[in-house]
Amino acid sequence: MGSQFVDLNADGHLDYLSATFDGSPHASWGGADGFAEPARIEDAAGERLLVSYYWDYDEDAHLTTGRSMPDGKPRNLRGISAVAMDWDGDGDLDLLQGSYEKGHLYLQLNEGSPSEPRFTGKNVRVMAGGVPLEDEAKMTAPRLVDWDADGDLDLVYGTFGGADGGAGIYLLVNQGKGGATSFAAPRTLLRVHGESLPTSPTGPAEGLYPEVIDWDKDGDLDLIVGGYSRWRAEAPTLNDEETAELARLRAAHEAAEAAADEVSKAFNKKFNAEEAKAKTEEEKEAAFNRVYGEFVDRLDATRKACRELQQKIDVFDPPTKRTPAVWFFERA
Amino acid sequence: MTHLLLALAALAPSGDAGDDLILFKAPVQLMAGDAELGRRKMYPSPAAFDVDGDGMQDLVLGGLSGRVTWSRRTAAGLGPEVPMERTDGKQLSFNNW
Repeated sequence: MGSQFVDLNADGHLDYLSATFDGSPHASWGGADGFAEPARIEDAAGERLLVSYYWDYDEDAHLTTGRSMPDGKPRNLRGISAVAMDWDGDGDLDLLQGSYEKGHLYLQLNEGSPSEPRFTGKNVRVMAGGVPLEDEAKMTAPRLVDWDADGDLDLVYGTFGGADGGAGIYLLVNQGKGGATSFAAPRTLLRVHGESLPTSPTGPAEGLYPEVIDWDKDGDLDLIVGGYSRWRAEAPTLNDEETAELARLRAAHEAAEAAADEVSKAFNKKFNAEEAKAKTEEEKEAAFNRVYGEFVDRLDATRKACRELQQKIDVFDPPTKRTPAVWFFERA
Repeated sequence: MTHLLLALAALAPSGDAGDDLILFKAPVQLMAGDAELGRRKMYPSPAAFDVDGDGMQDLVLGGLSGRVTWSRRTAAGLGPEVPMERTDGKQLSFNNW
């Protein structure tokens, strides 16, 4: 989820706009005392805003719909971020939704007023440099900032990471005139690529969520970036005895995993047989509880054995780690 | 420095001019008090906002779970990461599936 603090309903209080992997923008309406419980933003017809792919809470399933798509066709595109800006210079805030898949941006115009937004329910694909914006590395979230200090809002977005393992942060300069928005082709603000694993976290390598701010107050814009680092602690040099011990631990771990698999298979076999006899959901639940109770000690013991052996292996052969953090990138 | 900052035109999004990388210095990890900021989040997403109205931009952190935290900024640095509260005192949390 990205975050934007913006006065969505022109009541003089900043609201908290975000979107999540449920596929829709949400607003936590701000007031004099703070922020209220978030609610999904609806269009003029009372439908939740979305791109196409979304989590349906009633159906308890992921679904797709083409009702808001430019061509009316459903696509596997999930809106996971949202920002509001006056796209067309008519004085009210329109909404941009970013899709996880393919890294598209979609505009939904506000045909209401600043204080009573009425979103059209129809998405318009956002262009950058005259072509539809697309990023195979998947968009994390867009941010709005006047990067070039020309009085209008430019857009910065991050990516999760592409097939090559690299991720980036990109700038779309707003070249529009007379209050209208028109983005230029993306410019690269930052590319990160974990080519080899460092021995400690040295920076984000994937899932880059940017904030753009003059953090050090030196007059230029810096980046604050949330993301994951990939790293691996330095492996010790092993003597012959330790090398033999590592081999023994690996063999023991393999055997422990096989034992855990056997217990797990036996549990599934017995539960499936008991579940087949059950006629109601209550009987199925009772069957699960009965069989699980019978196996739980063995399941726990075998898992614990695997875990403990892995911890010992990790001392000799440190694993690759992937850890989240937030980083400050000072403008050079 | 193994995390190289690269302008890779071939891997850039559609329409990228490609050769205009804007450089930043090597990243510095942010701490929230004694803890690493965002360490307990999945996909931490920072946003600057003056939560407590003291004139300093604090850092608000979203994440995959939708539960929002924040870290107060002072002249000494960022304070501990704590839940961001709604008006009813509950943690601000955006629905995820």
